[in-house]
Amino acid sequence: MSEAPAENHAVEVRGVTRIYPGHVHALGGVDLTVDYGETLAITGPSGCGKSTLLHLMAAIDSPTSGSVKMAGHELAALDDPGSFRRSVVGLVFQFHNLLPQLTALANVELPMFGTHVSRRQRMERARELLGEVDLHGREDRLPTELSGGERQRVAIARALANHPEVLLADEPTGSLDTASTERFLDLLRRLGDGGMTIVMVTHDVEVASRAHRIVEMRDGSIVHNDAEGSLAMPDAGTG
Amino acid sequence: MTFFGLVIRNLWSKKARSIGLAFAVAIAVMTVVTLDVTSSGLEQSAAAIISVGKADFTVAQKGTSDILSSTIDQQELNKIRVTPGVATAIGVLVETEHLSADDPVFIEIGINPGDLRAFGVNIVKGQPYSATGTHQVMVGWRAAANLGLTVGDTFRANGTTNTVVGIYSTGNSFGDSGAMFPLPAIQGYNRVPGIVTLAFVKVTPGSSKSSVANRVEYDQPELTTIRTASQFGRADRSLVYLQAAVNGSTVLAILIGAVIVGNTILLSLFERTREFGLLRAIGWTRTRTASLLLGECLLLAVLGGAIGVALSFGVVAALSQLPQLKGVLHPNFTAGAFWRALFTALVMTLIGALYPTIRAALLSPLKALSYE
Repeated sequence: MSEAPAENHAVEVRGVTRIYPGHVHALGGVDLTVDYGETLAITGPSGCGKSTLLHLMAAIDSPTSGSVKMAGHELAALDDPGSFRRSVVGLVFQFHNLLPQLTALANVELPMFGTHVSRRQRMERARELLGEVDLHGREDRLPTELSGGERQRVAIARALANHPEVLLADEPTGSLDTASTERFLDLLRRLGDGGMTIVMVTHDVEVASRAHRIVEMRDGSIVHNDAEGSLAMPDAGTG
Repeated sequence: MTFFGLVIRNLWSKKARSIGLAFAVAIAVMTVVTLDVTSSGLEQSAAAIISVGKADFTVAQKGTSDILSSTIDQQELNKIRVTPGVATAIGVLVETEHLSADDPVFIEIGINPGDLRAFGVNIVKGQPYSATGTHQVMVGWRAAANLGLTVGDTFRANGTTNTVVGIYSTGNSFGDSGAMFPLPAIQGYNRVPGIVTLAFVKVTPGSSKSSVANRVEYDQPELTTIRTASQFGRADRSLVYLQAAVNGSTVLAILIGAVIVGNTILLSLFERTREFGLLRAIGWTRTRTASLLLGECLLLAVLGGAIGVALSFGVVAALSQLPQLKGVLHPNFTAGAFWRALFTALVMTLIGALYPTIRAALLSPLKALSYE
């Protein structure tokens, strides 16, 4: 992993609002920071703005107002958001979003195109990552030949391809069964133990409880921002 | 995996669509190449006439619809002969006759026996006809072989029965596939006394061919000179019109092909919106995303171009067997035809792929990922 810049926080969200056309207020003045090496879970009912917040952190959406700083990069000032997404953050989606025509290995190689990494280095890195997510020997399988949990682990390997500083995961266990979820969480724990900053959006209380800190959102705002275990969430994930 | 490997993998994963697109390109390329090769073959066949006489240049009537309609009278021919720099000017009457289904356009050349040697005619069997000989004919060695004729046989042409007195060779397949008659005889058969179709001119040693040719045109503006096949259109307007029709058809084929290709790629882009959105989301630049789609299109263009050229071989072979074109169309697959095929395939695909490629590059990753 790249060395962290000399800022205090891996993620700094200041006064962020996001208003979609039709005056839909997805976010209404969110402030949030995440420390380097911290694992943060963002929970809340559907439509509360948690995925919107994650998209802003990933620079695949822009805030209406406010600022987002990721690993020292002020996103509003980015000349090349593509380069930022390629090198600073790694993205994991709920439905893995693997390209069905490519093998697991090739899917993991994808983010490394255009990074001046040689073909051989790309392949070596992809193999290494698939090994790290316990998919050694499954490199040449197509996504259709893998289980849901395996696909999601390929997606994690792809997200880690360019040594990101922050891993952003949007409902990463949303399509997984219990056993696969457990295995996936174990993988996230290992990454967290290795110093990776992780921000994940989840409905699942059990998944959220594995984070260092849990943030709960409602109606576009953060309503709770507490350390692990201190958050009571009897209805989280049901909305 | 290389970028090229990714392009191949993407095309292979959607075989039916890729094959369909390649065939759309192939049909357009086949049309263009067939038209080009056919027109070029017809032009070469027609222009072959000027190379029979091994002249420095040929003189014909300017702007005729068909070079065989050219008429040069005796006065004009004499005037050519006295033009400074002209060594010899051989007047030749060229006619065609439908002999049979196998020989729908048989070439008959009227020339004086005294001009045969200067015209490059070698007698390979028998002897030349005499200047005043009636019903005498010499047959080119190719025609003799095709028609099964030899010296002493009779050959029916121009409504008369003629005796084959000799077999000749000109070293030119066009000339060797026809027959030669005494000039006055063939003028009489065709009721054009004193008229020749073309004058084959040789210049005196040391004279500039172009200067002499320009002088002939200057002295007799109703005539034109031809030194190369590309200048043939000066005398034969039909080839100019044919070339214009070919150019127009090429543009039309490119435009129609581009619309088909563009439509197919656009539909493909709609299907793959999430895929392109994902690539943008994981950090692919707009340029790289566009390059992927464009790379796929260009590879299909090259493949389609190759298929189109292969198909055109078959189509041209079939066309050359049509009764109207048999013996006239000699397919001429030049390097230019292949370049034209590649140009057509690439231009057509680039035009068709332009909008989809721009659209792919400008995709918002967020919108694309939520596309259903």
